[in-house]
Amino acid sequence: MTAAVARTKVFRAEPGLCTGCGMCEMLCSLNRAGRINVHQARLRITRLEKTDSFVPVICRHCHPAPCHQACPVPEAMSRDPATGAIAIHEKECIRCLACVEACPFAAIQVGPQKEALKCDLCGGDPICARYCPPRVIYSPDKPYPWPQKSCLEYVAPHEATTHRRQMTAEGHRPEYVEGQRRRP
Amino acid sequence: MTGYGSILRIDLTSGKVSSAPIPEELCRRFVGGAGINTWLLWEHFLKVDPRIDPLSADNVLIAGIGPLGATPYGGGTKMKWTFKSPAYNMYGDSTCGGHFGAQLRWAGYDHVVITGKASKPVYIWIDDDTVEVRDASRMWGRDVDETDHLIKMDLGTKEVEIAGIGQAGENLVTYASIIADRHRVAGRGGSGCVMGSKNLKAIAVRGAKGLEVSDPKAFMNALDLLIGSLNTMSRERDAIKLYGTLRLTAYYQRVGGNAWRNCQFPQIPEENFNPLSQRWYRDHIAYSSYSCSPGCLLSCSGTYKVKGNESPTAHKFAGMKGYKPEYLSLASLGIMTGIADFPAMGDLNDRVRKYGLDCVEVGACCGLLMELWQRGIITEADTREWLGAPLSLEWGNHDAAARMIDSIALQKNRMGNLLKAGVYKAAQRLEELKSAPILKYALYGKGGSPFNEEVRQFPSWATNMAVSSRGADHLKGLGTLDKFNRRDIAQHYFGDPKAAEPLDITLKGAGSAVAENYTPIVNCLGVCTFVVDVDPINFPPRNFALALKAATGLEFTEQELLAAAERVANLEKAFNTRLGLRREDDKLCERWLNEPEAQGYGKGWKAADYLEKTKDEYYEYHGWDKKTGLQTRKKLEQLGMQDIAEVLAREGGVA
Repeated sequence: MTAAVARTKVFRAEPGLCTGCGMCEMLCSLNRAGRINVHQARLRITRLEKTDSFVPVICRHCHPAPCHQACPVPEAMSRDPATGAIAIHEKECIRCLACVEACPFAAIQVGPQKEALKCDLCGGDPICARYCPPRVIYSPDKPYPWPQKSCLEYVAPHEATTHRRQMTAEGHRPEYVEGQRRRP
Repeated sequence: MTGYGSILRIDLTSGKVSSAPIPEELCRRFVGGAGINTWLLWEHFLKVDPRIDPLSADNVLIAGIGPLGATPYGGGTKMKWTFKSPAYNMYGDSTCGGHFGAQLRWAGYDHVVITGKASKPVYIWIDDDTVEVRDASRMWGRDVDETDHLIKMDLGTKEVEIAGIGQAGENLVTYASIIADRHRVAGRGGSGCVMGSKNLKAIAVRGAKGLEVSDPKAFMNALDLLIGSLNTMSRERDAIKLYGTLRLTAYYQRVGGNAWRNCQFPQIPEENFNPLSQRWYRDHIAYSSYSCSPGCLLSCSGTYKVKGNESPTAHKFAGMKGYKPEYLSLASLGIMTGIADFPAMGDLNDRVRKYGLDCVEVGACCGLLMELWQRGIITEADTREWLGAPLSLEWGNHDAAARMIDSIALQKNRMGNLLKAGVYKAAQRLEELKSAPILKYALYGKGGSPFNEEVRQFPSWATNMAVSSRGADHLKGLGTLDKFNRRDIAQHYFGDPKAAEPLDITLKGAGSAVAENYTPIVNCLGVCTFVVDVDPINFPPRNFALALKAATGLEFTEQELLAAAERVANLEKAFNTRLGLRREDDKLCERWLNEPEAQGYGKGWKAADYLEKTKDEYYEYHGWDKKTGLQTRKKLEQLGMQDIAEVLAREGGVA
């Protein structure tokens, strides 16, 4: 049950609408590593050259989690019962990077000191979701600094359609896509 | 110092590389970014005669980015290139966005000072602490895309950002540009020409060091303040998100700011307007939107894709993908040349980008030749002589414009040679050739082209163009007062909303001066002027001061920040004073001065009616001498610029 909460309530991402501004990467590293360095961020934006689009690669906190299963040290990783987040405990971690290899989404990053950097949902209020300007990564029940407006209003009409078609094909029906598409 | 990088100095003649941290006193004085860039230029030309040829090895190319660039402050990242301009032969600087600046800052360098001249083509590779000058003979003669690809192959990684030049810079076309990230252009003043004259093809950079933030908690509060400001002006914010600067097309159509057919008419004819409007772009060919640089909250960049059935000529460009043009590209390559077709204009824009040219000057050159064709001054015999084959230069001829761009960049025929030094020199040469008055049709300012838009009925905009320190454009002092009718800003500056009255010259010169003292704040901080507009009400300087303190620990009051910005404006002016520029050099081209506007909102307006008056007011509000246009010793000392006043006094440049 906790895992379902994590997937649907705390943290979501809608690829295809990402603008590649890197706010999430920079804020993540600032929040967790104390300095602005995208190489120390716990998520990553990938650019797809072919379609000129960006995809935020974020941890899905899978259930069951392949990274957790692959970890050879029992104390090094655990699931937080409150948020459903799987976190790496740096003290116990032996830096074997088995989790990095096990992740099917390549969502665990390798930092400058060859340590595994994994999202732990910032204790339930992820900073990336708080500030993502196009609201690609978002927490549905958390306050958001921008007016509560759909990001679909800011994209080209065909982008919105492609995005919606994609989402429907995958079986997702996010609530804000249901509404009427508004032409600018 | 926390939050600041260091200054990297590279001498291409000897290959010597050194770096040193920025002294705190310099940061206090000029904040960073454009400010410190200008100081470095000033410092360089204390040792070197400022009157040198801009293409000589003694010229300097300075790249710089301010303390809030490449941070999640949310203003985007904009870097500044500063040099002595070959296009205008005076102070030159140019801004570009893109990831290049961010990587430079993340590699630990805020400023890169490039001097000397390499003996063979080279490029610079900056990988955190390792700085190398590498051979670029394989990339020489290639366009921007190919250069980008070849350098990535040479370095064996895709994780680098590259700023380089195309063929135009190599061939020393005076208005060639540096192109960062393959499509972010530092367009004005001929930055690419300076780079080419140093035999420098590109700079590649990768930064993995990152940045420190002095007080992360306060920094987040500053970000919240910026988002709050953006939310209060949601209409403008949404317009930028949707259209970028293209949103101006429709607005200028209403107020008469579009320079249709070489600025003969202030509006695009009704039947031609639709295919050039932002709405058409968005509904027909817009493909994606993204942020050009890290930390941008608005993401106005984008790409488009042509299917082939959108417009009458679109079939020629079926399958073409390109980068969303800015308003100025559209104005130069579409409106000035009368090409009322977005895909055709997009093709020209892509050529200009690949060759590494400045679309503004290209547009002015094409516009001039097309108008001369319309007036029968140049004929098919001339184009046959210049190109080797006859070419019709009638309005809206995409093929003619494309051929002109190719010949300018590749310099293989006489047409290219004619247009190599810009529109002003070309008009002068044509005047000699044809012994007919031609200069009066050209759009120029201080020896290069001004921004291609109608200014006659906007006195503060026109004043900005006339007095601009880097040639002729409005970006040194975004005089939004009359063009955008900002009564609130007028009230804030002067306590008199009349300063924003359209078709009126009250306080317009003053507005230009005040805006010119304010704008450097944005440029010094390294953020984008599209996000934090030149708007002291919605984006008050005290918010920037808070962000600056959070990022770097340097405490600035609002007054100190404004004073630093004024210092930068004065330093740019001082550099030009050393080159011998005086009040009489602050002028507009003949078309804007003496030819009344043909139609529309500002019908009958011409700049000669008010320019001297607004200029008087402009110098007065700057605290400069009205008669000569020189800075006064009193003003300079008040700003703490005694050393600069000394240098100027030695050369008779202080009133």
